[in-house]
Amino acid sequence: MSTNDFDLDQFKATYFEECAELLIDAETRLADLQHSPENVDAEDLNAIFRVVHSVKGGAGAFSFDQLVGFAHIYEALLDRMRQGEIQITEDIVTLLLSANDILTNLIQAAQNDITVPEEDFIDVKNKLNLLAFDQPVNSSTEEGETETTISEEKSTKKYIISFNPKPELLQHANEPLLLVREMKALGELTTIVNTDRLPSIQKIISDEAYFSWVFELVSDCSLTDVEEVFEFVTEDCDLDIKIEDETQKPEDVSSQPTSAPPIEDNSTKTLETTKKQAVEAMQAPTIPTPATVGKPTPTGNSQASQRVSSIRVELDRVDRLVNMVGELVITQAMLRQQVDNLPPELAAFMAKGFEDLGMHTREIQESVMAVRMQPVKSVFARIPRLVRELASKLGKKVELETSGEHTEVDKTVIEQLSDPLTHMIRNSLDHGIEETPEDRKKAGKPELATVTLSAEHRSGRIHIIVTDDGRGINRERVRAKAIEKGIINVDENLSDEAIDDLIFSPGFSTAEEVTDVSGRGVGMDVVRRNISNLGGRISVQSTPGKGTKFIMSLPLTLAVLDGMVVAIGKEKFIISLTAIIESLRPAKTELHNLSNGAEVVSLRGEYIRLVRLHRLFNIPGAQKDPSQALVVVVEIEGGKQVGILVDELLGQQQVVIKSLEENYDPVDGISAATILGNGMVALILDVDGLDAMARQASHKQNTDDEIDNQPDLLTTDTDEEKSTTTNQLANSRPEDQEALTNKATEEKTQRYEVME
Amino acid sequence: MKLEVSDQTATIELAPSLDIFVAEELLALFVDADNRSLDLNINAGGVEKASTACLQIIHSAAVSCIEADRTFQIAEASDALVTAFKDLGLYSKITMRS
Repeated sequence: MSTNDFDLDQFKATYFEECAELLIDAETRLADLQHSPENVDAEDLNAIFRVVHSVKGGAGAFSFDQLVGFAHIYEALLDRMRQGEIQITEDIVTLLLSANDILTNLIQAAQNDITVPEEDFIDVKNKLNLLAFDQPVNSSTEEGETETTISEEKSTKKYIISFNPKPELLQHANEPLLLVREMKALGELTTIVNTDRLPSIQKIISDEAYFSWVFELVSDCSLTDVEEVFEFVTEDCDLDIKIEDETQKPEDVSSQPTSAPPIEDNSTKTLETTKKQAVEAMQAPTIPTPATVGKPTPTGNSQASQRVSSIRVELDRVDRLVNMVGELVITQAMLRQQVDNLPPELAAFMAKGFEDLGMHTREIQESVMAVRMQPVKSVFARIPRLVRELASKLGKKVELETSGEHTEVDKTVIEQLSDPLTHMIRNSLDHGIEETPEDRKKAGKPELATVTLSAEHRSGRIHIIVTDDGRGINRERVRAKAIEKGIINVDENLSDEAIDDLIFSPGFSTAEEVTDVSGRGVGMDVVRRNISNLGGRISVQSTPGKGTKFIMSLPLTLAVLDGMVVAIGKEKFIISLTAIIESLRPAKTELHNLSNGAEVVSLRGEYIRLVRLHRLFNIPGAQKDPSQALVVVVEIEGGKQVGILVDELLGQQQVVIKSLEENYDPVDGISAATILGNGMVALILDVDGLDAMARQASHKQNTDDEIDNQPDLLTTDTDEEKSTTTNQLANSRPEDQEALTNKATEEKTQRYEVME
Repeated sequence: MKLEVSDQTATIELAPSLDIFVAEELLALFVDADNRSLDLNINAGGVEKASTACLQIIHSAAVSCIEADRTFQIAEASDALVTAFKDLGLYSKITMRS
């Protein structure tokens, strides 16, 4: 780009961001159209039209010709539809959805600076053209020639354009220079400016528009093309466009072609306005304008600022702010810790100050984090479309119900949410819903299946739930498939929940054939891994014949965490507060060793696996006797619980999450790291990972001890105790029984992953 | 951008980006020079972008200056600035001098 060109690149990012938002809006409204094509809300059509129009307008400014060409046809069809010239049918809505897809692809292509092959969308383009202009596009038409379908002759014409900006035009981010340059791209342009309204330097207001212009444009472009140049400023100006034959050419001795003669001496340019020329300029002939512009209002600036209710900020800036606030939190924690070293009288004095500082820091942090929060609507908006297409492809009748679209979550989480959610929906439609509507009727269900997608905040996390009213998981088939694939042994006795959980095993699929919907054996394991990488969990609950529910639990943010600092030996770790249920010091009688090597603690009639951190991480000097230490009971995947053995709880603290993967390497049982007030690094525990590690450890010990064949599940000090606990175990929750009996299954799964 | 005064002449070096956001700053410099009845010497060699808002101000400053019988000069005008003057149709109102 030469220095003469106005740098448009700086606006491209904003344009693409706006496009993304606009497309979501269009998608949502198209879903509404699809839902009830016979009862269309005119505002929906208008809104979709505006979306396409805006995309086209911006694309024109950036010379994305392919995008402009397609958007023009799409827009023309929408225009005819909203005028009532074309009736809305299911087929038309399907075509609009396809057009929206292509529009999305073309925007992405423009963003990546590539061109989409014409043949990729010529079919849809032809259909749109046929409806919009009653004629298809010739497939051999070169890019940019689609406009020839518009029924306007390509003869050279002279347009006389009177452009009289209102004072506020510049305040609304409009730039006449850009308009001039757009017109120059259309043909030969002569510009005549009227500076009569320009006040003296003492009276001028910096962002008010004072100039007005008459342009003469000689071009073979259409009137529509000329009008489009001004389409975004029509409300901020008086505009009159005439074709030469219809108007008298204005005479102006000062008129000057913009391709005017070159500067006389470019090597030593000096630009001077002499008094004489300036006076001439001030006395320049008045250009007739179609309307009189009112006197500039001195309150113009304040009116403009009052209208601004939001601003667009680059994500990088927000991220920098988040990071700096994170550092502020760390510094504040460090300072607070320093207070402990001060003499008591000073410490008391400082304490109040730190209390206030802490409160304000917390408020700043919450405010900054709120900036990054976005409703899940942007992800949910794509799902109706997905369901419709999949249902059509699979020959099923499915209705989607959504709720909680306005539930907010951190932008980073939103960005990672799309793929797992798509997998889950695909799974529900392909495997969950019965093969045909007839099958559903036979099962006593309505032909129309229902898939529900909901989001809600729960315990400081976001829960996204996908429910279907299909046939539920076919456990016999899942089990048989798992045996066939070597995921479990043929003689393994699994609970229903454990069988359901097998669908998350790598390479697992019960689909008889591979389709483009599912059945490739990748999917749900990837879903679990992706969600796990986000610090989330996914579980499945299924009732045969009734349906299946997937529950995805994710943290609201990946930047900070409310944690409990715990000590083991001389080490300090962080446990997420949202995972902690309670902490207790168990009596010796509440502790039991299982025959398979696992340790459990009895808590109100239920057994909870004990995780000895000091053993897993080889920490010296830790309290090894649980009855002398503390057990922190935490919730893990699937709503299960484990007890983490720690020496003591040091206190609750908000910590800034630092990625271990980015700064070091992944570590089993650790989800991230943070910096404590004393400047030391503390590791944030991954409670699910710890559970898996504890299971592996107990299995190893079990194997080493070769006690697999012991008849009793529990070994306790006395026969009486053994009898009691065995009975309790029999009555305990299925998950706990599963924990005792099914570890081999999981270990198989883990081995499989390693082989993969 | 700042105003440097020497022998009743104010020199202003224009910013590379004369967008609408610097218009207020530019206006303040010209008003200051006008209040002090200074001649104006504008160094425009580094201008890479221009906006209508800033060109209006420059033009108004020029006219105000010359009407008060003071000198107004733009030296080393960059191609970007000259093109912007041309595009807005102001080229006919100024004279190039080597």
